[in-house]
Amino acid sequence: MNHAKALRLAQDKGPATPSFDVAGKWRNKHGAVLDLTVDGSNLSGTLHETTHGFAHAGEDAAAVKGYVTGDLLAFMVLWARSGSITSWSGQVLADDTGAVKLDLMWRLITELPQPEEPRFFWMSTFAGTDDFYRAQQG
Amino acid sequence: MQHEKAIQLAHTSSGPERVRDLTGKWRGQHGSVFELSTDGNAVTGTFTTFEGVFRHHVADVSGIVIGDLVSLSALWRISGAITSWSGEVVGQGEHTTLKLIWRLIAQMSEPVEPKSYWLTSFGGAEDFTLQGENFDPYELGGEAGHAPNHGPLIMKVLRFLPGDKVR
Repeated sequence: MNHAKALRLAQDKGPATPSFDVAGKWRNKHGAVLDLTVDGSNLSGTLHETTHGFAHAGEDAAAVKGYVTGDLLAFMVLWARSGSITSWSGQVLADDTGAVKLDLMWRLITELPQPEEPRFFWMSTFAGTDDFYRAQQG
Repeated sequence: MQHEKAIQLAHTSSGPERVRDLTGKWRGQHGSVFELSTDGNAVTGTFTTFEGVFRHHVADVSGIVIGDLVSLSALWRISGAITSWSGEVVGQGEHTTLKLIWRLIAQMSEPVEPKSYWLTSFGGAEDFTLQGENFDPYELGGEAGHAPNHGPLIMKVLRFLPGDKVR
């Protein structure tokens, strides 16, 4: 799709919905904790991933930066250890029970060794979806 | 896919040995232009459209670069939309190209949102080629965009709205 056309369609959607304050801690079902700070439209914070149970298991915490507008948000994280970047984008929604969640799609891009790149370029991108709910206090 | 699993797969690589300097002007296949600066892994700059009613509309860009990998994001304040790009730099010299996939998420008025949520996301791919130091997209006039300029009146309106800049 042409990006300019998408931008035009976005403009046709009408005015922005009221802002939702996404600041604070959010947790996904795998235990990752997203701690967001909002300054105007700028989003910052940390993402703490727990990867126990996998090969190369451990914990990773990385800085988050992005934008928030209305009930939309997009942010990215640099995983310095592997030279990878994950970008998330999505929306604040209520689930079937009425609980507020961040409904996000993510894409992780990772570096391949140069000799392998032409053949394995398709392996350099991973994608999925994730829901983050408000973390319980304490 | 589970993100935690993806991170583990990524961690099997040793990581990049260098970081690309993205500083410069990058022209897209449809005439849009990134003007980027890099400071370590941090990328800042602008994205200017040269097509349709959003011609000459400028959004601030923030991003990350590591090795050949790039992730960028632009906030379109006037429509409350956000575009995220991610991809890779390929080639060298005058053939240096940013190969990016993008996703634009858009606002939708609350009453229609539950049944029309699928309409709030757009996606595509675009290549951006590094331009020379003297490149001025505004000098290209109509050639910079592939569509006629529909919007002198709209552009006048945009100038009075807060947020995104219009040149």
